[in-house]
Amino acid sequence: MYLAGMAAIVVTMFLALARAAIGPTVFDRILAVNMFGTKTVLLIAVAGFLTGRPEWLDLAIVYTLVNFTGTLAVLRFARFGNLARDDRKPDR
Amino acid sequence: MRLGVLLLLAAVWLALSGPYTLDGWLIPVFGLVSVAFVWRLYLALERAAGGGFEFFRASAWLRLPRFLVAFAVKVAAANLHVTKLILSPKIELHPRLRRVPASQKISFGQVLYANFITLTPGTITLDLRDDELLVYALDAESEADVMDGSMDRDVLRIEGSAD
Amino acid sequence: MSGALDIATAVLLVAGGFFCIVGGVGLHRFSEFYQRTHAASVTDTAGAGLMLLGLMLQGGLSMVTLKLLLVLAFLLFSSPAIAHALVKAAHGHGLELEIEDEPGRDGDAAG
Repeated sequence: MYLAGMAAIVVTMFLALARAAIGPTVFDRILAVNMFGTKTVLLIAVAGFLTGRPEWLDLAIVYTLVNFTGTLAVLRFARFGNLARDDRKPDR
Repeated sequence: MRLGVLLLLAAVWLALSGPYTLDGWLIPVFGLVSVAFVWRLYLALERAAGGGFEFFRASAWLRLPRFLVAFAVKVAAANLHVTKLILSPKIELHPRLRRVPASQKISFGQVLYANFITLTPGTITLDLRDDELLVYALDAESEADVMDGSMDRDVLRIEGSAD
Repeated sequence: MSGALDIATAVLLVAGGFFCIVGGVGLHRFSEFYQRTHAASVTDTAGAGLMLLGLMLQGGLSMVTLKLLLVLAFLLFSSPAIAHALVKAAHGHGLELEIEDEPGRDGDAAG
């Protein structure tokens, strides 16, 4: 049953990757990569149960937070063109 | 409230790494340092936001289970609806923007309401301004979920200011 | 581990996988960015929620379940924040929003 779940997750990850590759706008790509990240979290969690090592959940937790921060950073970079300053007008 | 954040951070650290490693001295010290550091970050965040954050009163924890049930039911129904839309042979969407009043008293409640709407598939919050949300909905049925105000009431109830 | 619990876990995992794939398919069938965010939110709520719930049944009352709850909580906090940030950034960036009627013209919706 774990394998069935993992297969579904992997299929979803490929669909997300395809959208990230073809996505016409940069926002499509960020959306797809973020979805890929959350699916990775699920994959790690299920794989931990499959191999009988639920400690992998720690990795899943860390990956959730890294995914969140990373997506926001990329989004910010796409909008402002830098990661440091606050007070700039967005680049068109 | 700052104390509450500190306690919450300490509890999360204890839950994630505490019980296994309390025999040595190094790991608890690392824990103390990391909790103190994150609490410091929270205080800096409060300052950057210009004043303290306002949360629900502590009694909101008692109303949390009922809110979670209402939340799960709404999200499940919306998921089924959007699944039906995705799998229908010919996708027919009537996307629309709506202004929705957020009648919560404190900003935390409004943010919770906005996130509730965003988390429900079929509706997404674009903006929050002047106690009003700008909501983008996929079609009439998704829109009706928000416009009938039941989610607003759910959040009001956990905020403790219903009726 | 009792058989009924295993069956429940299997059902939840398969249901979660189904919603994941549906979201992935929606990512391709919807024609516009703003609509695709809704497909992504299906996988983030129904897909992740059901799968983690199924794993929680296997974990029982233990640290494992607590960690699964934490993963779920972090996902439920972060996914609307990301979705909102994305949509607002796209909107502020001038990405066209296909809608059927403007909110300004709509008297009853504003009140």
